Amino acid sequence: MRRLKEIHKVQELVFRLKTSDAKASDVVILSPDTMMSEVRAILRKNKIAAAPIVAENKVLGIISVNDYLNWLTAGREDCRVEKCMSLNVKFLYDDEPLTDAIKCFDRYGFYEFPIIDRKNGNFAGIITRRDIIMGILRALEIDYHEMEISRYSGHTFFHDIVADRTEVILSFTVEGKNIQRGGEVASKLKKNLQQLGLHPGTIRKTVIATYEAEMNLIIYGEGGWVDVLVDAEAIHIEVKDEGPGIPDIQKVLQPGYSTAPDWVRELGFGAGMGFTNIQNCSDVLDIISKVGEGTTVKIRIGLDPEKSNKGKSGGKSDEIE
Amino acid sequence: MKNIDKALCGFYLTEISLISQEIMASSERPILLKDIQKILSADIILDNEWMDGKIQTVYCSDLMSDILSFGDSSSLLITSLINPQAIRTAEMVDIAAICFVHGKIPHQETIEMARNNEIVLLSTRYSMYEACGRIYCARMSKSIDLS
Repeated sequence: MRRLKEIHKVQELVFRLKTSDAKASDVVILSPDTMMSEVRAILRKNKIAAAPIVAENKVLGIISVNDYLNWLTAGREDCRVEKCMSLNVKFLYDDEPLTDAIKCFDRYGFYEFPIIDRKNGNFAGIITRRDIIMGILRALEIDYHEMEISRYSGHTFFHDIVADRTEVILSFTVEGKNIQRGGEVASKLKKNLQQLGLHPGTIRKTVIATYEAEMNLIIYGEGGWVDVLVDAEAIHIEVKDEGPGIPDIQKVLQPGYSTAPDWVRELGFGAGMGFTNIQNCSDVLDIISKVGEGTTVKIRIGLDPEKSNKGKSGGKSDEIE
Repeated sequence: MKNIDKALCGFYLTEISLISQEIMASSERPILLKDIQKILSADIILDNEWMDGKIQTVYCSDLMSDILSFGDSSSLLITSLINPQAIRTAEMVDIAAICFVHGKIPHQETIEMARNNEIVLLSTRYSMYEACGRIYCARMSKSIDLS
């Protein structure tokens, strides 16, 4: 069933796409005064079977391997290509649908057709079978990409719910100093966000930021709370503790600054990259802290992967295999 | 409509193989997990029935924040850390497999965590340096000699 759908998609594309969508414009053209003795090297070097002869943007003719062989077997002297080229050139207009191009390939068995601009009759490029395939593949890829984006933009969940305002709130408690359980919140959050149908890139950014913040709660904050609010536009994460607080917020934002004890470093944490990672993943990062009272970290991550922060950590969305 | 189908089929047969070859050559060659296991003479701690899977990139680090920043999905992580956080971190960035160096084997609870997250676990007696070197050489050489 799926296969049938794909075939229909390709059929739709061959009708929708124009020759100008698929044509190659960076092509090898010859001038009328190119010598026949040069043709072989040109065709061979560019791995092509034919080339148009163009002067002042107009196609005068086409020279193919066949024409070259005819010239060779006739044993004629070296001359300009315009003397040997095929004059009756079959061409396609740039606004013709690909289906016409496919029919032409079928009918004439040529390797390529020149594309002519219908408005002024100028040479606009070349189309080969390969260009047609590539054009269809490109169009399919764009369609597929658009489909992926719309599928992951929260539409699945948020657009099915009819309300003036929809919000999902997820609350977690983090136990202090229990490093064995570190990451449990981020892990649960990841599964929940996947169920909401969010874009993999957005989920990745959210879980990285939450994981780093969660580890901070465990290492420094003696536990705390993670509240995540998801609405139609963004994910808002609030990580709160009643721990020692941060004396100098600017310092903790510097990459490499760390006050981590050795037991934390032995576990592969505490290299002073935590807040840098959070910052790279978030669109907005807000840290409010008072020594002796606690710290609140607020993170905002937009749901639209096109618009939001494309930091190193979060910019990568999962590649489609 | 029939003609178009026929013509399209012709195109596919003649051209698609060439194009797919080009695409394959332009991307970094993926490597099979079972080939990695041979290259590193690694013990399989947990195969999760995924040893036929393909690895896109290999990443080595003992620093969790770096793995979070630079780790890719469908990649192999080579690390000397065997604590649960190594698995958690891998889970966050969808790392497909972890290979521990110096023959280290994690605690059973940690292995269970990997099982729940469908992460393959390997253990090699080589050092981090040698493990990376061996994989790098194997990927660079056109014909992988696994003997």
